Amino acid sequence: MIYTKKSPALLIIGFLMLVWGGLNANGQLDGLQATLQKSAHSDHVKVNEKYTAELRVATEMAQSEGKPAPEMKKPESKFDHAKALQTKFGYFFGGVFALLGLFILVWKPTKGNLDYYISTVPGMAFILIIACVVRWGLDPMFTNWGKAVKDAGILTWDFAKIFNLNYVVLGIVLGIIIVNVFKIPEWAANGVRSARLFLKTGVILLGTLYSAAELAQLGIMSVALIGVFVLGSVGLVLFMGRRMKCPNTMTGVLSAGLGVCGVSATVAASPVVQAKAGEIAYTIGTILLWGVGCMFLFPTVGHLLGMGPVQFGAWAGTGILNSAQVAGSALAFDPNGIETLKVAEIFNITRVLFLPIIVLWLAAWFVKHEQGAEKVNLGQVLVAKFPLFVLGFIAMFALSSTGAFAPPGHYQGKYFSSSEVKEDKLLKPKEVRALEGEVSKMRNPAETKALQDLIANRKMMTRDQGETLKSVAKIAGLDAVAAGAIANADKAATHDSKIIKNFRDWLAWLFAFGLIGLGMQITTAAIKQAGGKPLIIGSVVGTLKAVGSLVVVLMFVKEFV
Amino acid sequence: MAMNDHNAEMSAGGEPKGGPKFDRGHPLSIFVKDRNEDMSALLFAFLIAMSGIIFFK
Repeated sequence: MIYTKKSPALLIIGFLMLVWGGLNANGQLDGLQATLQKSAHSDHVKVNEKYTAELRVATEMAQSEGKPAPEMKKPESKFDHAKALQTKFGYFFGGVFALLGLFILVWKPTKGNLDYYISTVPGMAFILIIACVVRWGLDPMFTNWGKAVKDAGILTWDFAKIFNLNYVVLGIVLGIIIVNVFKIPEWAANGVRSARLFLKTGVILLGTLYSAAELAQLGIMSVALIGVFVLGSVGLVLFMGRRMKCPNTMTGVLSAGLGVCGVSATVAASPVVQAKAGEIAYTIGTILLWGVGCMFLFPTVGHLLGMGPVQFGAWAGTGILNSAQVAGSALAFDPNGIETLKVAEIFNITRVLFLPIIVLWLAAWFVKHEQGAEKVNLGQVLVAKFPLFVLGFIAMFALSSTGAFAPPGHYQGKYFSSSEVKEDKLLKPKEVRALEGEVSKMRNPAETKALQDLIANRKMMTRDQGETLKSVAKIAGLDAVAAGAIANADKAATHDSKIIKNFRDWLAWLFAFGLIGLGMQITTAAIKQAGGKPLIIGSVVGTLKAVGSLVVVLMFVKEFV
Repeated sequence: MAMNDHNAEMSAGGEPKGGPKFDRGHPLSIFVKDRNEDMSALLFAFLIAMSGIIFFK
């Protein structure tokens, strides 16, 4: 069988990407880019103004001393960097696709390896160009709209953030629209099939973002509380799914989504249980709708029950399914304080760190149940059928925990290090004086010690002191310069691993690519096939989790957090 | 449904109607057979991790 279809599509895609790269390089898209990347562009303008002013001063000084005008290197802003990246990307992929597109048009394919592999390229290029539209166009566009609608006072919340209208969800939605409205073109079919490969690669890399040391820092009781709810929810969904005779693929992916934390867990678990594209979409839809409902309900219930910031943070971080909605709910409950948000995020992070355990559990569960017989030797079946990429995910998690990519205590590449604070980031004398004037306002010896250490060293010395001083910064009546100094010192001691930042970029592309491909396999028939059972399971487990965690938080949280 | 059948159905396009079809019988179908797909994913992830360590350390 010959797989490669004769079509000019790849050549056209290559040409379009080359044009995009060229227009970016010549600055002809600067207006569009400035609209899309608003904050990066405003930083870019500031950087340029600063550079121009410094250059003018230096030139004037040089002229007054009779020296030649100095050469100053123009600093690269985030905006410049993004444009340069799009240019390189456009030239590289555009060039490759255009050449291969020409080759496909003139080549007479014969049965064999070359035909097989070439046949996948047009589909991959098709997904890639859509991924570019999503990552560089739709994602920032929705972010801007969300902010604009909020700033205009039409909504009190950012709809793009709350409904997760980022490249993950937008990619799936666009894929769904394409397959249901236009169908997948024949020349792209083989490439679209490769989407799952890239999704799996993304899941393996996801392991690099977490570390066991971060889990250890969170405190035994919060880990125990979250552990009970995460594992309990997963167990309950698996039990109910089996009882209600849902397909194992659907039950598996739903359990991860409801148990761990929404969309990323769903994506990570989907290849483990071989979930169909429709089932993934169904799970994500259930989680997002449920999460949005909780986001509005939780703050009201919290206020009615007179919950404190720590209690509410713990409840939201345990009971709400998706990260963005946890943050939204915590901010809705306590818009001015950071205490609720901080506690909610700690609980949320703890939950995400259970992902490796859940992935392993689901892999073993799925292999056992899909074989459909208790008589089979589980060990043998696991060896024969266990998804190998899960081992890759676990290996990356282990490597990340040993500090191979960033210091062991990092979370998603961010870590605290006092020794890496640069000289120019140390507190200025004015800030130190402002802090010295506030020592008497400290409420306990720990706060006093933390502030004295900060003054003595002009930088944050430990992560715990950083946390203590961040709550100090919220003391009413504290000098604004002192509060700003604390924020600056904390920022200076928080670093972002370059390696993991690079992995995060890769992850974004791999997931965008994989999810657009998955979206292209979600037909209306597939959604109908999933039926109403998963929604029932989702509602029951979601309610039990929300109510159960509320009871436990009200009973115990005051004592130990 | 037995696991192998399920893989086959997934590999054949994932969804009953409208999705792309693919001949799963090809011996080189690295994107179709699960273990091969896993191995390819492991290889890609390993290359990305190594390049990250080499270029960004």
